[in-house]
Amino acid sequence: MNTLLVQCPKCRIGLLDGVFNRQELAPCPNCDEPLQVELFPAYFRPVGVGAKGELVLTEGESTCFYHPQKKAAVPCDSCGRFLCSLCDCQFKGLHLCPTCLETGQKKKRIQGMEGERTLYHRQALMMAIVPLYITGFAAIYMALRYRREPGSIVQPIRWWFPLTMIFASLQVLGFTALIVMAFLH
Amino acid sequence: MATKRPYKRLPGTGYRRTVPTWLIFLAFFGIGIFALLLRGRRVQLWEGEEELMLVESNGYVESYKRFNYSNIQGFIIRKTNGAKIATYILIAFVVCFAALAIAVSDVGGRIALIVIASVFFLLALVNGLLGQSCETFVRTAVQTDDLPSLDRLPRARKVINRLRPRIAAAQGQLAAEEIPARIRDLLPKAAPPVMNVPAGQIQPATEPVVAAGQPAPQPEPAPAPPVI
Repeated sequence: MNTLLVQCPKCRIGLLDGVFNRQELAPCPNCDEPLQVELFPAYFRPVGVGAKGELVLTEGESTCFYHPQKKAAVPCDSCGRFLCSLCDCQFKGLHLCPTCLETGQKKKRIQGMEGERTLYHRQALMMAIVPLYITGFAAIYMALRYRREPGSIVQPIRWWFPLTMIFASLQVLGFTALIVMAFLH
Repeated sequence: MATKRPYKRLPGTGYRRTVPTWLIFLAFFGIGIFALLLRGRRVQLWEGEEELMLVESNGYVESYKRFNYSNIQGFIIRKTNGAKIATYILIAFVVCFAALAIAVSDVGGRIALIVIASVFFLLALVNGLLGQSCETFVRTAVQTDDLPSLDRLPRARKVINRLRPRIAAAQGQLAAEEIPARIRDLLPKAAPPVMNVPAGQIQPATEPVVAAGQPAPQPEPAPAPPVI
């Protein structure tokens, strides 16, 4: 059972009554701080306990790749290794072993597991706009090097590549023309 | 053909501050617009089909934190006085510059001071129109995380109202009347969090919780030393 009480953010007292699911502010019973607490059924949901994995009782039974003494429950959906209940990581309907889960997160293969993304396109676009000559070359390099890298999960921008190339090319051509003209005169 | 975006942006943009706001305000007089570089990482909330996503960005790297609708236990809003204090300060500036404008005899100087006073007045007006300030936290079974983008009461309520149907679809409904009784059911079994732990951190279950209206639990007396 979930035993953690909701605490007042100011005085840290566990809240029992008077402030829950009202559509207005109500004072904390202890410190009178105006609070509004919205609770959902998950608050009362018991916390599940993970399976431990059954021990192998008879010889010849399939065993877990990571725990040879434990009975295999499912194969990993990514690498096919047999897994016991302890090693079976369920994620969005997939049964994965811890290694595949970690690799998937690192290599961004599993959708919905990414914790961070570098926005190369934004960096390239910024460099294309900043007029320092060298930044034009850097922007072209970055745009070509990272053109297949995924952008932001929430705000994917499709037009960044042509825009970066146009700005960066203009910058490089403009500066080159200026230098050539200065050299000739 | 345009692809459907999986996330919709929720109102509000906040900043995970590394420097106090008042210091940024003071820095503005020293380094001008560059003071905005001290704001910290930008935080926005995005509404997905299955999850609420908190996106933190420094402009070139985005980090994501997902709160599945079925795992959200609640939202906690605490009203703060930040907006009120900011309004008072801005009004004080307006009064100062207006008084100076009246005192100055030079027409050019008077116009300049009136313009400055108007800018502060506009800022105070916008600040007032945004509503009361607040802190908002989202609670799951393993953490209580703050949501800096929901720093105004009307906005926080708007976002929660928008998320409520999705959470209800994932978890079902909870009647307000049954909450106190169900919480009291939890209480005798409670052996949980610690006081004085900043929000946003996982709290180890080392000390019993102190509930409002309940006497604080007394520590058990230490056993008497053995007599030799």
